Amino acid sequence: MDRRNLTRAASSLGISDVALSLVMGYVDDPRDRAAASLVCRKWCGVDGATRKRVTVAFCYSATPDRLRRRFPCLESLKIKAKPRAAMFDLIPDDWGGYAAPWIADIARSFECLTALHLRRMVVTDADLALLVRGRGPLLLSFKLDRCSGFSTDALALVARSCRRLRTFFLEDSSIAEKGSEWLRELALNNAVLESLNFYLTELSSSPQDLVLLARNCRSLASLKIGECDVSDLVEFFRIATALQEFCGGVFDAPAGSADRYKNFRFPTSLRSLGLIYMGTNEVHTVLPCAGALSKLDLQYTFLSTEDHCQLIQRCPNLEILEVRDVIGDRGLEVVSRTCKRLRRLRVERGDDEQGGLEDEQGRVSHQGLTAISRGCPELQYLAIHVSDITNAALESVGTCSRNLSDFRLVLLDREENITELPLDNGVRAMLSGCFKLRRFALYLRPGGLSDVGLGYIGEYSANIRYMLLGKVGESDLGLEMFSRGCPNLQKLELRGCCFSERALALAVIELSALKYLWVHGYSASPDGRELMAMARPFWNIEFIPPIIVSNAADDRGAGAENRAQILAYRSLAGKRMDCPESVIHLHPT
Amino acid sequence: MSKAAAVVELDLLGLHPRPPAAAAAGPPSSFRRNSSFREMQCAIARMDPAVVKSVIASGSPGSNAAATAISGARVEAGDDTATSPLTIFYNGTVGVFELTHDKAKNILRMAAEASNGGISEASEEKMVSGDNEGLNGGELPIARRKSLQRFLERRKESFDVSRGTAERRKKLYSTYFMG
Repeated sequence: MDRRNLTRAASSLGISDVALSLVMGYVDDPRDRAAASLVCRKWCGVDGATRKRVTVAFCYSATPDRLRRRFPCLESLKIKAKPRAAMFDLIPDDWGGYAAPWIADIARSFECLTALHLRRMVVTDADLALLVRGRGPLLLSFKLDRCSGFSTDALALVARSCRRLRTFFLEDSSIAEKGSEWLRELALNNAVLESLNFYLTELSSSPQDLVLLARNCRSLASLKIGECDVSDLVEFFRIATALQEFCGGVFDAPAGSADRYKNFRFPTSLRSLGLIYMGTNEVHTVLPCAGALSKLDLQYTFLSTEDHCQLIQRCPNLEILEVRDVIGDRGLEVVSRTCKRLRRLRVERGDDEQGGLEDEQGRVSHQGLTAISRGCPELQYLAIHVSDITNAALESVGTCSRNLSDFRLVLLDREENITELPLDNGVRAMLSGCFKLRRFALYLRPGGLSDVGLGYIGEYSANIRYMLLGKVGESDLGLEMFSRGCPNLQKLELRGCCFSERALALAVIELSALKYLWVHGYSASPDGRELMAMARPFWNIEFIPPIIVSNAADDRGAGAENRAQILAYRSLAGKRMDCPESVIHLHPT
Repeated sequence: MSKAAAVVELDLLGLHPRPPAAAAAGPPSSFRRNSSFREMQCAIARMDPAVVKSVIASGSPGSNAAATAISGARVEAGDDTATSPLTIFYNGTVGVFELTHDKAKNILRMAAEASNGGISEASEEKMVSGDNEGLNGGELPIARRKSLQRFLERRKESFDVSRGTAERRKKLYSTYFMG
């Protein structure tokens, strides 16, 4: 049968619309849903009417109106705006990402919406007021994730209006403190809260409000707060019997009164902990629950390498561990011996100064990486900042860490001489072995990866959807070879590479699955002219020109944020109307 | 931001016989001649980037940080605030500018790129790969997450102030809220 007849036959198989809706309802994976919606108009319609969860990966790729017309019955919506680089202070403050147009639509329509997650967006108090007026009583989960532009007044309003909220998430958001007692309001108005998170915000919290919260919300299982001295939380922990996760709180006793924490212990019911400023003298507070911990965040502690070793030795059930590289190779060896269930490991970059405040053993290298790959076979996510690296370590990852779906390696600037560069063969071995890899980041230095190595990345990244590449390759040829591969690459970030504008434009054309490109630091022209080689329908090109010459006197400092940036993305929304002056919209004109 | 150091003449076109500036364009006595802008562009474009770097380095007596950065070592962004004088001879006029190391490189790069159209592909590629280490690859420092940056700065500040005083506690909170 030819193709058209086949399609007609499938459509007229006698499946009623009702039956089709029911069957579709069991299809959860967004990629399966996307495939189903392409079969025919009827299936597209049924998918649209029955789709419950959508993530708008980039807010300028579509309009709120279009979203509403396609998926009117959404129950859960996630929208992401500013480029990831905003978390590293590389995006101008006025870049965009305003939630207002989306919230206006959400408040009016989307009557089934119970979960909303906004990530890296600018949200005002007025926006939040509009939202809670329209959707407040129905919201079960509300996340303002790394957002900015609102104040505690709006939080108080949310607390009063959204009484059914089970999850309230504000982590790492910039929130203006206006003294409104939002936490108290939350405690008084809500009885079903299960998870509250204002970790890494500047919001204060009084112990009394937290005790009130524990009393009224008997299901509270996860609490992540800002700064509040841990010794003031004794009463809270006594009452919050359902609590399994706690992050935040500080150890802030002046020297000489270390007795303050002498008798304090975290409850043994905790499975997840993250503590701010905890030092060597306070580790005893964690020991009673260490054995049961499945998640531990030590990124913001004052622990030495030895402290890390001592503590982690007692945590055989860890599944998620986040540390700075002060943990050292020695600490990672302890992890590899002890934490056999480890699924996620993040080793962040600590202080760079030699002989500074970090432990002098606090360096991670190919040794630690090899130990982890051999000792922790369940690893799915590994993000690591290393000071030294070899091909063999990457080969070990490829051989042993077969479950990796997300691997990110950054080679730090600290050492002048690296044991073994370039990493062409190691990268090839790693990518060949880790066939489940979906997300990949590699940040090296000039000489770290040759053009051939960059070609390998293209050739061996069959399933990878997201990539960050920093300071890789030697010339445009490398980018060309890379772009011939990567059949499923949807999102690409490039930083500090040497490629020309023309080569970038041609690579974009070649990468057929690419929906989003961000580039910072490359061979930029003053006006981005050569980028037009990538111009085509439904493809937006934004350019932040380099600030080339200015008087040293009125310059803030020739920092990295003054280098040219390219942001190009697939869009059905046309040119965006809220570009600031620093952003030039090259296409569509 | 003026420095007390004497004005230093940077012989970008190699007009004065002075090591290590080996790239030459014209006889030594001709610094008064009216070079066209195009000739200047071609001259800059033909220069070996390494020579340009070393000329700038030798012309910056007081700023060790700038010199170190140019030589290709990986240097953090904090070193970029030191300025040095850059002297440009053009069309019979002379200008001296106090610039940071970044700005000076930008000017050189802009001049070189503006003249790229008249150069063969081979030398253009050489420019790109030669640039890689100094201007593009080596210059862009690895970025750090804001949350971690805040934590490290706060920790440094808390150790600078003497422990055990209310003053320290107050300072800790105020620097934290500065975000």
